[in-house]
Amino acid sequence: MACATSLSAPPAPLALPELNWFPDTPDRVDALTRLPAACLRPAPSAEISAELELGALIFSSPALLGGQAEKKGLSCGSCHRNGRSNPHFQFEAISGPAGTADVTSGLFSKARADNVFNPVAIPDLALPEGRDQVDRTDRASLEIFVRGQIEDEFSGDPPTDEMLAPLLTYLQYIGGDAAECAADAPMGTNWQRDWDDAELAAMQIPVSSDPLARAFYIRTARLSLGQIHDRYNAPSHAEIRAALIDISRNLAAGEAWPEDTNDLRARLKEGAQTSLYNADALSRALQLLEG
Amino acid sequence: MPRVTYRSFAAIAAAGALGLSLPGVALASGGGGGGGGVSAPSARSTVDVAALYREGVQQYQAGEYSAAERTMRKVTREVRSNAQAQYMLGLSRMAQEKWRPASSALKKAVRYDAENHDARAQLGLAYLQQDKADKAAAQMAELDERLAACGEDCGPTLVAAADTLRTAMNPETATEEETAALYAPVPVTFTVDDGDAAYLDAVRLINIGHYDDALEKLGDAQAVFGPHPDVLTYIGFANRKAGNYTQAINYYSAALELQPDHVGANEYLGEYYVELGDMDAAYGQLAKLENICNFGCAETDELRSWIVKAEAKSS
Repeated sequence: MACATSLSAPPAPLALPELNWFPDTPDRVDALTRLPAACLRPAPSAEISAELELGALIFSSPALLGGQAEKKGLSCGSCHRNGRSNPHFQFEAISGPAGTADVTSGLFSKARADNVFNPVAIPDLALPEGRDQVDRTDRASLEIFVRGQIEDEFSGDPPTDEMLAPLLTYLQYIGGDAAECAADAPMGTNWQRDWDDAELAAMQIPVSSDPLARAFYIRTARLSLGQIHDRYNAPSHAEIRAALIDISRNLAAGEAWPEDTNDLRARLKEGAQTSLYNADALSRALQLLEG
Repeated sequence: MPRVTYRSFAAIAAAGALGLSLPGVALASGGGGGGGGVSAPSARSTVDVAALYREGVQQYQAGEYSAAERTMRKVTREVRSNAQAQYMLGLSRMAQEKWRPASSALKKAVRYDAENHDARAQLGLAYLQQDKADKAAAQMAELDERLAACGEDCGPTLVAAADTLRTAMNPETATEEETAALYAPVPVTFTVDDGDAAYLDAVRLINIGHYDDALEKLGDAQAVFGPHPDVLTYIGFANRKAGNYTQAINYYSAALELQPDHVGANEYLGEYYVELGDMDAAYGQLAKLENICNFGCAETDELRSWIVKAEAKSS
């Protein structure tokens, strides 16, 4: 692990992509640090369980959508957090009231642009409002629907079968126990979640037989590391940031995920209280940003 | 006679709080801060020219014309060839009746943007106040030439600019009040929300391939934000797509002059090199982007894709 950066280095700029769609409201800190529960039907096997994890990862990767969406850090999971809804979502020129989006805006889509500002409520995919959009029990119909969302609504590249299979499975399992659907996720957002995403994506790289999927997983692993980097922006986190950059650059150069990450994970755990995963630290940082 | 404001901002609907106006948040082209793991911008100088420009506009709007002039002087020292900054410098001087220095700035404004019709009208007014009727007539002739070219389809800005200068050149056709009003400070009424809305609309128009309309909106955004690297990058991009290659490279260069690590400008410059067939230069841009984006970025992937496709086509 490289530890070249001085502790006296200035903080990294506060530039969380989510600030693009969480407006300046009193509950913004909540929105940036908490998630609704995933609300998935129980997986019948370890194999399906692993597929669901991978599907959730793909669902939350901006690399899937490409174009302007990826440049802004938007993924399917931005509007459908944990496969649910996002009542706080408010992206300028895309949203009307919070929790709405114009899915035919030219800002993201050439194919579906209708030049009319007509935002609609973002449905909760676990509830009937979201389930009724397409018959998710029919995998062929679901595939056509999902391809349309990626390629037409967001001008993304066509996903390969290797990427699409777990994504479809994940979507088919959204919508479970009503009590669970009403709760918040036990962990909310935290470094461990993004770290696990990065590691899971990195683990797919050597086993993927599809070059496009491999490139997607490299990009997704690096994006997840970048998310952690953005939230550890205090001067005291300089060594953590440098280590994350090292892993990211090594992945891009074709190297494997590091074997021993104990030291870095210990540092991440130790610094979590002062990171922007922590609601108080985030609140202070936002106040500073806005003067 | 109504006063002329460069481009019609009253028509632009106010938008929300996000956009180029919020520090730390860049809304398009990947410029600005470190979002998504992009390293921090490393501006050529320590001066935030766009922020300085906005300060100057605010001073002008508050009627502090002398302060606005000083601030705009600082801006134009950093970005001499930015037409909008020269125009605002010219307006600040016009408001103080400093006719000769005003004409100096306004001359540059029309040199760097021949379609800033109000700058041309103001330049004509400044010449008239210096008893340079022949030079004012030359500006009138330029405006008339444009009016003749667009006929009944001329935009309101051009028509109003021509009316203003024509009235000033023929004071016998106007009342004393009307003539005096011609030399009153030009109202600058736009807000940062107007700029954000114009900018986002421009991005939308670019995405659906309406480049000329996008350039119009980007002109509105530039009036609000001045020489902002995101705006300059998209002006370059829209010009490239509209086939104005010299303009494109000039605007990319202006954006990179302000922010060498701007990912959008570096990507689009690389794509431009691919279009020219200069693959060495394109690879140079790709290497630069790989170095800038610590955690990868869509701009790198897009440029790489352009290079791969171009090489596949040529082999």
